[in-house]
Formats: sequence, structure tokens, C-alpha cells
Amino acid sequence: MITRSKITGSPIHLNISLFLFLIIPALSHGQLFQTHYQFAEHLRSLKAYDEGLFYLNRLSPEALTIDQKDTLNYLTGKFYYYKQDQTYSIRAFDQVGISSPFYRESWLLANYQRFYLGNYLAGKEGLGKYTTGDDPLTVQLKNFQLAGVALLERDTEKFEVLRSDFKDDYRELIPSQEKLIEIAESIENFNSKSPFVAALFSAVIPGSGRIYNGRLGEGLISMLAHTIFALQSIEGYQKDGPGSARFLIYSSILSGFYIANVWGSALSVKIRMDEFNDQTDHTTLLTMHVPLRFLFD
Amino acid sequence: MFLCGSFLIKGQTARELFDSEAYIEAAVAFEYEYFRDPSDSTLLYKSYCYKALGDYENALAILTRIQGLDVRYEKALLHYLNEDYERSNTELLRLRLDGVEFDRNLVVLQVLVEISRLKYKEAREALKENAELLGLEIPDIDYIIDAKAKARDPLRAQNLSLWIPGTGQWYAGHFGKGLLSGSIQTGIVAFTGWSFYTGYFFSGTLTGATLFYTFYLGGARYAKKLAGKTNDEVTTKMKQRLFVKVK
Repeated sequence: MITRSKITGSPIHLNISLFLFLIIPALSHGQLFQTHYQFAEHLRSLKAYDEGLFYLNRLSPEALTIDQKDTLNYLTGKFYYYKQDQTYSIRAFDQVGISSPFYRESWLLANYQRFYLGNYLAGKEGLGKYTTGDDPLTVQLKNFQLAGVALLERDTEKFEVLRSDFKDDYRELIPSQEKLIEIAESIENFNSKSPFVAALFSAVIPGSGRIYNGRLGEGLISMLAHTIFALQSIEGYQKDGPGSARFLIYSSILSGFYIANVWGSALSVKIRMDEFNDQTDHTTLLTMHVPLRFLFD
Repeated sequence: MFLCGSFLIKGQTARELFDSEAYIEAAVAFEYEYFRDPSDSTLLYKSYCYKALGDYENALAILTRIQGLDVRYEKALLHYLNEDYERSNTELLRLRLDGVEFDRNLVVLQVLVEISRLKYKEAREALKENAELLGLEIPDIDYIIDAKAKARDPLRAQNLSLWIPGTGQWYAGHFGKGLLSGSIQTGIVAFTGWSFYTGYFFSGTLTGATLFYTFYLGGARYAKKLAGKTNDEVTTKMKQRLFVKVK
């Protein structure tokens, strides 16, 4: 198990590599598995992930020791992770045994990817499974991930509880922690609008519902379009009378446009909300990913 | 299955896998060979694997790792296959500036690149200069690239339609479509004039002008697209004829 009291700037994977070069030869029955590992690392440095997976998938697990199988699963999970094939990556990382030096990385990346896929419950359960001690960095990373998922679930109360455990012991974690706090504030400050009020505004003054929703440009264009059709309808009515084809065509277009605009104003509130949610989820996931990339890449 | 010294899949070496067209397996095997014993020719073969798989960008990326071998022809070919004709042309120019004598393959590639760049005149000149090498007669060259062949400029087609609606489509080689576009827009202008004449000022201005504006800009954009499409059809035909005449 790799433990470090503090992140001091040198990534953890250097320690893991050192472990492999020193320990793996002793664990395996010769140099062969070390060659496999080195070649896989070579392919990773080339970003040849498909080739890496092809190579690893052809190794026979039956001939490997438990430690080698763990390393194989870790490498497979990592290649799928780089390829952004989360499902297969999680499957491989989950098979890394708890005694492996790659366990912590596999555990964190697997559960982060569960959050990425929207499986919040499975991710939280997965994070709860880690039982190999309580080194401060792992505790902080776990708390940080759980705080992130609380924001993904819009549970700001739970976030506040988890946030109180944020510590500034690890300077690399501080910017991400601050970013999560910023996201939490933006969620609480988001001024949600009522679809009903937006529709009502547009029913009274066409386009005003969109302006109420913060879409000034859309509202003005809508007003202009209504004015254009209204003027043509009035012209048809005044010159040809209420039964004329010209009046009926233009007034029908105006009516259709009016009804669609009332409905569209209500819908625009939902769209604005969806856009905010998508943006917030994206930023939160990105923020949750930053420390993992820093520590394990 | 895996040996330290060489990488075997189903008992085959990288070269055997390549020859049996198992390109993905061969690519990994070549990389393994390179990992064990770095050599430019191994990387070149790996690049061939990705070329055979149609992954030209990856094949080009592998070539950038080669330090000793001259792979400019291969780069020019891969850029051409990747439809990056300007880069392909640059590689060919470099070869020419270095005094490399163009063989049959290079001449054919040069002609293909010139055709793709819509430089029909230059392509004809290259064919004429190398007629003997390629085994062509003047009628063959005329058959491949008509002496009067001229590429349509998409921007010119667009501008023509902005000046006189429909003429851009005509210039692009589609007379019927040009006539239709011009007629529709003339009809809309007539509707607008008639609306004004009969006192329907709002209808004339708002409906007439809006429709005209839409068709006017849409027609010009369509003329530009048509010119590009015509060029694609012409170049495809030229390339097919080239391959018929140059075996």
C-alpha cells in the first residue's frame, strides 16, 4: 500500500512505477510480466490505447499470479479510461484486489466514472467500500468526491456538511475544493423562473415572457414577428373585410404564431433550467476529475 | 504466445501477420518489435498497417517517429488519401526541390493531387511531360483531362447569383436549376410590385421583401454548393479515366 502524508508535487504514479520495477520481478516468476508492463506503459506513452487493449486482452490470466492479475486489470481499466469507455473501465478497475498498490487509484477512478455515467447511488456505495486504513489523503479524496456528488444531486445541505470537512492540508486539492464551493453558491443563487408566469406575460404582451426569462433578444424578435403579422392582418381587414382570404390567411398565421409563442415562453423557462443544470453538472464533474488527473496521470 | 525476444500471435511474426492482412495484430506486433529493437523500417511497416486499415492520420503520426528513412513519398500519399491535398502537394514540392527524380508512382500521385486541387491545367502539363513514362498518347491525355476543362469557382457562383439570381447555378453547370431559381425570385418581385400597385403596402413590404430576401440569399448559397458538387463530379471522373489509361 502506498501511503504519503502530503502531496509534495511528485505524482504518485512515480512511486507505483518504482514499486513495479522493484517488487514485480520478485512477485512474478521471471522478467516476462515486467516486459508486458513496460510494453503496456510504452503504448500508453504513445496514446496507442487500442493497441494496448489488444495486447493486454491476449495475455492469459490463468498463467498469472494474483498480483499480476491485479496489475493486468488496472492497466486494462486505465486504457479504457483513456479511451473514455467508462463501462469497461469500471468493470476492469473493480477487479483490482484490495492488496494491490493500484487499488486506491482503481477504486477512485471506477467510482468517479460511475458518477460521470450518472450512477450516483452505485458510486456512493462504491466509495463506501474502501476499508484499507484511513490515510489522510484518501479520506480527503473520498470526502471531496462525496461532496461533488452531493452537488450533482443538488443536495446543498449535505454538501455543507461534507464541506465542513474540507481541509487545506493538500494544496493541490484547495482550488478544486474552492471551485465546488463556488458551484454550490451558484446553485443556491440560481433564480428559477415560473413557466406559468412566463406564459402569462407572453399572453398579455407577445414576447414579454421570454424577456422575463432573461432572453431579451428572443423576446424582441418575437414582438417584431407578431407586429409584422398583425399589421398585415389589419391591412387585409381594412381593405378587404373580415371574410377576405387575405385577412383570414394572415390572421390565422398570427393566431398560430401567438399560441406557439405562449407555449414557447413556458418552454423557454424549462430550457434555461436544463441548460443551467447541464452546465453545472459538467463543471462539477470536471472539478471532481481534476485532483484525480493530477494524482494519477 | 508472448515471447521476450519476438512477439508472436498464433505463431506468426509481425511480417507474417501483415502479409496475411491481419493488420491490427500486425501493428501491435511491429510496435513490440520496435520496443525491443528500435528500427525505422519496423515503424514504416506499422504505418502501412494503419494505411491498409484506412486510418491515415494514425499512419501519418507513426511516420513522424521515423528519423532516418526518407518517407516523404509515403507522407505525400497519406496526406492525399486523408484528403489534405495542399500538404500532399507540399511534400511533392519538397521532393522536387531536392532533385528527386519522379517515377511512375510519384507522377500519378502528382497528377491526382493537381486534379484534386482543381488545377486541371497543371495536371495536363504533368501528364504531357511524363507521357512516355506513363505510356500515354495525346488522345489519352485529352480523354483523361479535356483541354477546355475548367474548375468552377464556388465563390464566383455565389456572387453571380447575388448579381443576377439564377446565373450562379447556370455557371455551376445546372441551367434548369438556375432558370427555376430566377423565375421564383422574379415572381416574388412581381408579387411585391403588384401589392404596392394595389395599395397593400404592408403585405408588399413584409411578405414580398421577406420571401425575396430568403430566396435571394438561399439561391446564392445553393449556387456555391452546386459549383463545389460539380467540381467533385468532374474530378472523380478524371481520376477514374486516369486509372483506366494508366494501369
